[in-house]
Amino acid sequence: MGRIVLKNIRKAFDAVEVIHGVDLEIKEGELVVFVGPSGCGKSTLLRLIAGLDTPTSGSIEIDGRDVTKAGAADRGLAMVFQSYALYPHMTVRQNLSFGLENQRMPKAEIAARVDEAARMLEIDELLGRRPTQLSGGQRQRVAIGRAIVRNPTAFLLDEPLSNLDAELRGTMRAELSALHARLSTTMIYVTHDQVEAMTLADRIVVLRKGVIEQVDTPLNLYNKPQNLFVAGFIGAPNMNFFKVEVKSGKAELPGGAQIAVVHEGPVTLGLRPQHLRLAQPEERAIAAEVFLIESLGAETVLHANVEGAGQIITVLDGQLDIARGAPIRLAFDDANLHAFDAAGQRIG
Amino acid sequence: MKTKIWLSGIALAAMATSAFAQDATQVRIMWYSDGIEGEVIADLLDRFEQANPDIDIILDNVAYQVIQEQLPIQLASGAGPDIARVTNLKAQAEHWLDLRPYVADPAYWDANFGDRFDWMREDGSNAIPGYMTQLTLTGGFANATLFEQAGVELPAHGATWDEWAEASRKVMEDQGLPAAFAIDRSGHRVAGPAISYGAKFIGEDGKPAPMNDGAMDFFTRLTDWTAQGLMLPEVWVSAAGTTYRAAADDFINAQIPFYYSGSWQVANLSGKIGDAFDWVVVGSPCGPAGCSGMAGGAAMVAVKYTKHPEEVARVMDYLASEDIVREFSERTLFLPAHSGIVAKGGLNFQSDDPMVPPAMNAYVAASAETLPEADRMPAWVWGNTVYGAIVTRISQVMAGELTIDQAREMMDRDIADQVEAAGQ
Amino acid sequence: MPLVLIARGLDPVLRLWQRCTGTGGMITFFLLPNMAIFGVFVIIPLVLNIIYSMTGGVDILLKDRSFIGLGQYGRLLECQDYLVSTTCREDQFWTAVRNTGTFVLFQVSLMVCVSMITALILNRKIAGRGFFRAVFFFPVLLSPVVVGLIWRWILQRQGLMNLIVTQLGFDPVVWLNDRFFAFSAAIGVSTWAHMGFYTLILLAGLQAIPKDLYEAAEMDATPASRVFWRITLPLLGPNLAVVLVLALIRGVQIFDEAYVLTGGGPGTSTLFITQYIYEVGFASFLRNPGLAAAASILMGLVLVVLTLIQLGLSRRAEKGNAR
Repeated sequence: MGRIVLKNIRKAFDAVEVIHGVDLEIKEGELVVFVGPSGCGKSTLLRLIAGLDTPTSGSIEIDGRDVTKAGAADRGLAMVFQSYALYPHMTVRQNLSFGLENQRMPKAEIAARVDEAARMLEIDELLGRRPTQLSGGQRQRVAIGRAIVRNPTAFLLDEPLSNLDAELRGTMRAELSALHARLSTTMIYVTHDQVEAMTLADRIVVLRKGVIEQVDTPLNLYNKPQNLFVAGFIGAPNMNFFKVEVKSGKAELPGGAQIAVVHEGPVTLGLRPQHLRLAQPEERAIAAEVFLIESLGAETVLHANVEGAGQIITVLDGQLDIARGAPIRLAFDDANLHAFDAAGQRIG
Repeated sequence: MKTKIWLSGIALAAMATSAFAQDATQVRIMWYSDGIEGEVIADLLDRFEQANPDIDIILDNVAYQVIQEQLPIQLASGAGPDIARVTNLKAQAEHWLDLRPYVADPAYWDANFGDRFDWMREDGSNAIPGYMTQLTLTGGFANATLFEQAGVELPAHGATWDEWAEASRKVMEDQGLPAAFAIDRSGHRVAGPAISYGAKFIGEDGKPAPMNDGAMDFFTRLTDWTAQGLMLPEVWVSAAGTTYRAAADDFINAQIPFYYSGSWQVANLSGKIGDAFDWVVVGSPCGPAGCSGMAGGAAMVAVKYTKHPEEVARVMDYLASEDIVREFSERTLFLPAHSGIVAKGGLNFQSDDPMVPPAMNAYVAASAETLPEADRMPAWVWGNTVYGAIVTRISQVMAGELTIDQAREMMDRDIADQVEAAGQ
Repeated sequence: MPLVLIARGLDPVLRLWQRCTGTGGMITFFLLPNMAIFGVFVIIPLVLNIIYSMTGGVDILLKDRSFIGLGQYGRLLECQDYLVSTTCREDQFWTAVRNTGTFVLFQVSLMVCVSMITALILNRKIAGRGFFRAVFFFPVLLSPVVVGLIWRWILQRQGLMNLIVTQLGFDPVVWLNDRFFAFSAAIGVSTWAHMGFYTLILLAGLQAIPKDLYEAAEMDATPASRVFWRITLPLLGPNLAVVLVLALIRGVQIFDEAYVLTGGGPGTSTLFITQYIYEVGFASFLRNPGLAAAASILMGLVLVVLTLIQLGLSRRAEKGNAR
């Protein structure tokens, strides 16, 4: 229950194609996160799965059944909208019951399901209120509740936390994770926030401009990004990139550090800010000059200029006594080095 | 003809150069036209203005409904024009200026217009209220061509209303017309025929008498003819209250072979029909009591609230002079109300239309057949009240809303209410 | 430019004035002209009308009339059987009241339904949507006399309607001479003339409903009729209430189009209360200004009640939106 397969999905609005051939397989009970920058097509893809839009070509299968031509009502899915889309003139109970009434369910069963969902989400005291009388977090839970009561094949969540403030977002993230563990239903979650993606997902689908860049578990995406875009997208602060020319298996980083690369020609090397450390005097290192220091208490983010190679960012533990303009030397381990070829694809 | 706008422009120019020019007295005349009288009177007034540069006449040519509905309100508030052409004379007699002290020769007025002064002034008054612009007589018009085409003979002089209805019905069926005849939607129009059936509207005490059987006899006929589809329903049935509707256009378009209206329509019909078909004036069809139409007419009266009575009197003297009345009548095809002219005879009605002279002559002849009751009506204060009640209620019977008996009760009640209200 | 100088010059004067009279005084000063006009052209005539309704006689000027207290009202309301107008003292008044009541009942229902349906259709992405929105609104811009005349010419004996009818092989019908048809024509013409205005109000209300509510309903597998009755209609509630009361108020005042179209006929089947007041007060030979004034006061009371309802409803709508 809840296996969704997308085959060669294309979507065009008038003459503009926004989704260029997406293939994806979502396993039963998985929490898959669609992540990517604005305009990458993640919400569009979600709506195609929901049935609110139809793909221009390609097919969608849910549990082996082809639903490409089926309407949203016939797919057995439930959606939580970014704006919650609660019916403002109905009470919370009526909002939750509405979809079930459409299925001609007996009243007793509707009431039972509504009560159970309300208890699960701790909104049972709010059942008599109208959405306008609820706070943002409460409304969000009602929206989730509306999806839960329908016992859907899969949940579709379209940026559900983006309208909440930061603190609430953190709490809700944990609750959603717990909910997924409890219900074990497939969830497709769309967000632009990679922290949400990394923390919630079983697998992440990274999208850019209507194309899937990589599908993998969060840690795999972090440790082995398959292309430049994913490398730069996952992880904050962003990965540092250096363009180098590899000659005879050797390349030189700014500052003289020598690296061995199994490739020839132009290569982009990447190093995460967290994988740089202050170098010991004899260590191979990159030389840079600090121009910005961000002290976060537990760690310090240094922005520095590398001569001839742009900026470098590094995250160091603790609080440091470094002044602006001070020269630093940053060392790294080869194991943490990422290399990408001229086409942006991973090497090795 | 100098139009109002042209005259206003001149008035403005006159004001601008007032230091040098002499101030002309403005005399405002409110006029309505059935046919071409507007142009004729404008022409006559032009000549007066040229002969009398110190008087500036403004002629407002308005719709009849304005005279009916708006003038009374102006008069009641003490305003209004200086002179007006009015049909509702007796009921508004309190507003007319007595010209006796102002006209050049009161004896001329008494001699030539005196027999109709009672139509325009309050009972017992000796005032000179104005003069009748024309005498009108109600009567019938028949489309001779349609009768001929249907092979039906025009009923002879002295034929009854029933005979006319029957003959017209035959023409209607033969020619496939929408109706056999039509009467204008007006109580005044049917009062004459009602009197021919024995109606007596004026009570012993001068107040309205209840509707008698004679009147109801004719009204019942009217409703029956409507029910049978002989009378054109659009005229009486399709408006409410006392709204006036004329059936002239339907006669002009040869939709009905017989049309009961009045002599004021002659110029209008002549102009619009042209030589499309032959038409004749047939006087009023007969009832048991007689073959009566109703005399009436509009009068030029001076308004009491004018600021320039002497100038107004000069204009009235001019318009009432024998030559002008003769010319006016001949050009507008109206029957003059000037006793002197009628006695002298020899009116040369100006029309190229061969239908007109026999038509006018037929009316002149018919004017001798009016019953005494009909002659008293124009001078009676309550005339319009009775006409209003008749047209309101009879049209409701025609529309099927009331029975004829209910209508009889209601007409009496409406009239009594109005008499009572006037006494309050 | 000179206006700016004048304004600048006036500024110190007004400031001084404001200091003397206080801000409240300034407000009164600026409102005074409008209130004066309103008072002269609305309040004073209203008071005069009430006085007229308590006088008798046929004279037009108030000073010539005699005071009879509530006599006119008594005469208007005197009836043996209120449902049968011929048993009433003023049968035409009651006919007019009944006609107006029937008219309002059917015309307002028709108008609201037609406007609702049209607004729903125009809310979708159909071809020529902008064109149709304009087309439905054009009749609202027409003068009521023009509207009445157009339809009278279409429905008269030699009119367009009969042309079509005869082409189809039937006999021509004098449409406006039939009581039922004339009344229906009055309803239809009035609806045609004003529908565009209400359609626009409802359309604005429809567009204010967020689209994702409909998508949520779609995900909930809601059939179209349920979407309309349980989502669209309740959310359109305040707009609909405003439309209803506006249409009621306008419906009670029906005059221009009907008068030109049918003149009150046939008989008195399309005689409405405003025409009755006009005729009794001004046009008829049987003129009675006091009676007309009393009738107009009664009609005014009905309108006051309707307006209060509308105010109450729109206040509730405002409160709803402000949350």
